[in-house]
Amino acid sequence: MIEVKNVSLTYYQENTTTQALANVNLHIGPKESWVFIGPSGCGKSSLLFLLAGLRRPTSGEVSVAGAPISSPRPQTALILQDYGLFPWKTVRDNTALGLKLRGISAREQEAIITPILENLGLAEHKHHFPAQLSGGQRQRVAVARALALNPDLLLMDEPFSSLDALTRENLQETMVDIWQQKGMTLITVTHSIEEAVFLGQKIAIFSPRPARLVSIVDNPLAGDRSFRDHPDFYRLCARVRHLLEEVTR
Amino acid sequence: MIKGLTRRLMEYGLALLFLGLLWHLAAVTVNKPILPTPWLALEKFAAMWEESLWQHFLVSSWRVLASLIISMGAAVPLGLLLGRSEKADRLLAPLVYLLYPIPKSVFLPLIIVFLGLGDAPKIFLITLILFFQILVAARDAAKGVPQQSLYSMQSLGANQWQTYRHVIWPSCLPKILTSLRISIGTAIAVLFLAESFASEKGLGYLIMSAWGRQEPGEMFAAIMGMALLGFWAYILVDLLEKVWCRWEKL
Ligand SMILES: Nc1ncnc2c1ncn2[C@@H]1O[C@H](COP(=O)(O)OP(=O)(O)OP(=O)(O)O)[C@@H](O)[C@H]1O
Ligand SMILES: [Mg+2]
Repeated sequence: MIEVKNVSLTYYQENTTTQALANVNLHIGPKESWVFIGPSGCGKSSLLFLLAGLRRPTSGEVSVAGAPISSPRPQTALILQDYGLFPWKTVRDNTALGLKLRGISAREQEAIITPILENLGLAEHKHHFPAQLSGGQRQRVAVARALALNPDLLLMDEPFSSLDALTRENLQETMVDIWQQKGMTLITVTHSIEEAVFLGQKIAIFSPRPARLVSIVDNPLAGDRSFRDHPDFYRLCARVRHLLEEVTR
Repeated sequence: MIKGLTRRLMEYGLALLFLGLLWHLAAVTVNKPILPTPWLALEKFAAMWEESLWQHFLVSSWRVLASLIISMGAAVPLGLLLGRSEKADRLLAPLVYLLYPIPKSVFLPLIIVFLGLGDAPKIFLITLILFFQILVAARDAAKGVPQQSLYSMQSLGANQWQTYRHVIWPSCLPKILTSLRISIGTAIAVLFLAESFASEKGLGYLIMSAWGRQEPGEMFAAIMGMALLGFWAYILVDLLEKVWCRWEKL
């Protein structure tokens, strides 16, 4: 699904240069769920933006579904932590925005988003504005908007980091359900080790800036609903924490 | 809704009463014909309205409204463009910075030479002044649009025009309307200047001519007309805000 070959990224600003990524290589198969984790400011979001086609690497190559990527791809959806929703649009209009931009008729928009909103428990909030929703509901709207485009690749940048623990776990479970139902490729950037272990079949650990891929932890139990209560869950969390501590040292 | 409206009207009525009282006290204290009591001015206002005041009021209102519309129409798109396009900004920002602080009203004589004594010179001058105020506000607002919002739009596949329409314009609108509200004060001040200078119509002309004829009652009737003009302009911006920025007031 995704090939990242020898990718480096350097930001050039007026008189400073910041290298964000150094020689990253990744092979992500279709329908896999990956999590990127690493120290703050190391370059995780930058890598996600490359995969989304919002930026281009300084050197190296990124290809998605067999084609090198240079601009956003219609079947890729992106969910950001903040500012992803537009406060001046209702839940309905936020959800249907991607469809509207693609020139899909209002009737078809309605047919696509109604079941999605119902599934996410948002149907009764259709005509509310984001300011009238709780944080968890807002992120659900962001998820709904992504799903409306029927993506085969869903990228999420710290999607649940501003939510309380229970809401957060609840949404993680929702995401796992969606991922399993739709069979899409899911990539999540997070700071939370528990979230990484619950969501990621593969947990990619990055070094401090410039981000290098330090290790990939295999996690075959990811997405199992009862996984959280399993002793293996804690064992894996401890291992990931350990690896993270090592790279920051 | 109806209840809210009656309450608002009551509040305004009270405020009006309070101002009238202050004015009355001032008039009684000063005790000179140049400051008539509010009741006398009100009487004059009622008498003059039928006769010719309404015409002057309409003329002045039209001048302000036209200026607001033209300056918004020109300054908002340009301001948003400058705020979002570094190239355009680098090219035009120096020009804006040089022209913005110049008091445009000093060109009134020149404007009159070219545009005459009718509506055109007034509308031109007010528009010129509002243009820069709104331009700067729109530009700064557009600069503040979070990059994340733009990334979201781009990843949804939006083109430039769609990004302006769905994100940049609505997110800047509250700040633009605020600048418009501030501009109304300026607009009316400039209107007075332009109308008092060389004019045969408008509230500014009426104030100056009443003053010249030593008719303080008429002068204050015209001043009340000016206040009314400012009031409807504020109400208009309020309404625009209610309709366009409902999401802000939740
Ligand atoms: N547009 C930009 N211009 C210049 N430098 C940038 C830009 N975006 C990011 N950077 C820099 O690149 C580095 C990596 O940023 P990035 O946002 O990818 O980190 P991150 O791993 O997502 O961090 P966090 O975990 O805090 O979100 C940082 O040092 C950041 O300051
Ligand atoms: Mg980040």
